[in-house]
Amino acid sequence: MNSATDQLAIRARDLTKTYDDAVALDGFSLDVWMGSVLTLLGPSGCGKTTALRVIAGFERASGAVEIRGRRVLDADTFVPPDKRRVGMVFQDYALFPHMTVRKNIAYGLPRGRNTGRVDEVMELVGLGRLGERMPGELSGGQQQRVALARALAPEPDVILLDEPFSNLDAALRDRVRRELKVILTEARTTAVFVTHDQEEALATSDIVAVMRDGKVLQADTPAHLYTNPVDEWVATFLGDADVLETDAVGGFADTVLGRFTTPLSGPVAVMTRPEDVQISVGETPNASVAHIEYFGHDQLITLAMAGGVRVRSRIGSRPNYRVGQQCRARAIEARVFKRSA
Amino acid sequence: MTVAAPPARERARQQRALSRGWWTAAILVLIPVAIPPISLLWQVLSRGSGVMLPTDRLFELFLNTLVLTAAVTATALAIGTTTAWVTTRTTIRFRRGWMILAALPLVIPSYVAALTIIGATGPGGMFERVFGIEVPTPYGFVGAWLALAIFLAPMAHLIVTPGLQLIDPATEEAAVGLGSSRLKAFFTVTVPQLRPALVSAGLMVGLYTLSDFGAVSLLRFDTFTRAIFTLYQGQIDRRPAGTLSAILMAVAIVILIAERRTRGRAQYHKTKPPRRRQHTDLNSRQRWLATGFLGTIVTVSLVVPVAVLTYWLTRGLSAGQTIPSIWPEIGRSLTVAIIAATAAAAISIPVAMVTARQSSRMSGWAESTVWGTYSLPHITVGVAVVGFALAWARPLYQTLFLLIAAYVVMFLAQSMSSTQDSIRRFNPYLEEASRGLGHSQISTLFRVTIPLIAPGLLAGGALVFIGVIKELPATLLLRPNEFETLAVRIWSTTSEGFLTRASLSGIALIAVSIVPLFLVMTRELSD
Repeated sequence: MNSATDQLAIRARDLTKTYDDAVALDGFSLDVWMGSVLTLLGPSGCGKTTALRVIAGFERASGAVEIRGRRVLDADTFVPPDKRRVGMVFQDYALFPHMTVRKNIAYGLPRGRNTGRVDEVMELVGLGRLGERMPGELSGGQQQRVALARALAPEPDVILLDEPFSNLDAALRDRVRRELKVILTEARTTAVFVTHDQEEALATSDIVAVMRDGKVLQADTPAHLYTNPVDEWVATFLGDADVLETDAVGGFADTVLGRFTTPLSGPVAVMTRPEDVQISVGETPNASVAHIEYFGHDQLITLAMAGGVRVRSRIGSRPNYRVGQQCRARAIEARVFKRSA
Repeated sequence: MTVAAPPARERARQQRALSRGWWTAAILVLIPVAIPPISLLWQVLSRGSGVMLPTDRLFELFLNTLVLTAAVTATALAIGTTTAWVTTRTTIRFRRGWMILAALPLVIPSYVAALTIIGATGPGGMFERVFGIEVPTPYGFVGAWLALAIFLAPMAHLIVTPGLQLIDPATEEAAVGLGSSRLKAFFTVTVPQLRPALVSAGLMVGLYTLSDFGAVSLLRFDTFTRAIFTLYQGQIDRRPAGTLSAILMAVAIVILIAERRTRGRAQYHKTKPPRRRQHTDLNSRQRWLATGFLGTIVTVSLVVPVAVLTYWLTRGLSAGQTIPSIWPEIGRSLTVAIIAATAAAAISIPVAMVTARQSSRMSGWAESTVWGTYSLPHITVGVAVVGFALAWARPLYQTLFLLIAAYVVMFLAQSMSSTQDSIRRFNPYLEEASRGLGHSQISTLFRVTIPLIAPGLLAGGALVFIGVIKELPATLLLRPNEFETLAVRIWSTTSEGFLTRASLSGIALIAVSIVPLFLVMTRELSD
């Protein structure tokens, strides 16, 4: 074993799992580095929850999984979930309704050494004096913290969180998400989140792994992922994007938004993000304002361009345009992908 | 994502959550459960039918049994649905109290009902002695019909009430708002929504009637069960009793299958209980009518039986009659009922687990097996188990073990369905959370699963307890010699015409069933 794999908290290789009528995992591979926060991001039904459950040991799959260098799953090995040292925070928290908060948190600890550690974790997640309450008496945010505290208490090698924010309302979600990030950093725990929310994934993670149809398409830092998606699908899945179809010739792809360099030739798709599309007036116009969505802190302007093409531009709260106004649009940044004919 | 995942995938995921251990345990439970029907079939197929009844007699039995079952089911459903509606949907005073009173006669077994009819009517009956009016004892169809319909109406009431509580009263109001009368709204809007509850109430009442032995025997109405017992007792050759039992079993299974067909998929569409409960305002005339109706039902089904039993008891005592102590009988009844209830609750866990958590063909079969044996008339189970013991397990014949085992398989469905209910109520992720926190399967079972399903285990156990305490025909066939329970005592003393003795046992039997019944009712009839 080399030093690189020593630092891997999770190493999943070629996980494949089929249900009666659907493929859940199809050659899923993933590396999670020690101490990092990774998010599995993908649309509903892409297999991300299944992947998490296979890693935790609640489901079997073909392929191999190592946790901190220990083989927990392969063709001849199946370490049951209670022996994997993996903490799990379930989507609806799965708190034991018949136990107090304190008992819930102490559940994963060996009898005898509970009290100190329970207090420590309750302190860490900021549960204060709620120890004797029953789960049913807590708010959603508090329940979430209990679930997290319970998972953290036995000091697992990794902690897995299945859509941990989905049961919280939007206002609470942002706050809890920030808190959680701080707690995880403080606890120096490796964490794997599952979500279908792009913004959540980009905001919380060190690494985002984008999944589709049971496999990881790309795993990268949020910034790199956003600006350098591997293909058109990943690009559009991660955020607003407009795609212009054209042909690349001699190292260039020409579009209504300008000329972009590319090593490709033949049919290509040029992807731009609204924030990279700039508008100006006074130059030769190539677009007209078709629609304006004004959000206050910014605005999204839909432009009608030659050939019926529509492109969006995100600009600050000023200047203000009116519908029908002629203007010039150009993209300062774009990605060029090969287009399947 | 879990929410948005396709149902097939979700089902598959639940299936993975079950280990082989559960299935192994479930199959070990299902084997004895399947013994009665298989044993009965084997007895008939391998040894021939023996000397059978003449066909015209068989036809008469068949007709009697079916007519009685149909009449009792229709009457009990009508009464039970009415009491359920009045006590859930109207503003009648003491609504909760009536709701419980209407279910209470469930503790009175059919043979005690028959006993009170015999004790109240006829020359020398309570009516003649107290009021000077001699009412002829309604032997035959009328007596059996009355005894069973009145005492099974509470069963319908108990099943229909929760069903009614699930229906949004606003739907009925909407119908009235659209111009239909109250009565029309009830039949066109509420009854169709209530259909699953009505069908399962009809099934329970129907099967119970089919199975009844005590009332038809005491009131001398010839049905299959009575004929089976006579054949069994009177002859050395037990094959005719077996054959007749197999026919009766076939009738029960046909009814069970018919119910499944009618129910279709309706059972899977559980509606959310309505947020608000609206109670229909009654005007004073209607209120009197409703109260009078409930009062009559409760009087006939509860007050009169208790009064008749008390009358005969005090009359006998004041006449200086000495009644042998029934403490030993009480002790025996309690012992077998408690052991059977505990065992049924315990072994219901694996079966309930595989059937509640999976919807595979296997789990379907498991559930049908349990319900199938439950639907068998008790006398046929008795005949089947005797046949099985004599052929395969001679040392078990007439042992307490065999008796209790028969009780457990007979009543397992009740504790299974109650346990299933509890299992469906809790989130399967709780068990995974426990596993993920380092607890083994066994540890998870005892620290998470069992504490969470405890209310269901208790309620199911209580139902089995009541069933066992009341059970008569299988007990008569399977009990060890000299092992007299309360039910056996009532049976033997009435057949000898000692009403005073029987009354004491009847009162004792009602008394010991009351507590577990309350346990069940507070769960089923929670408002």
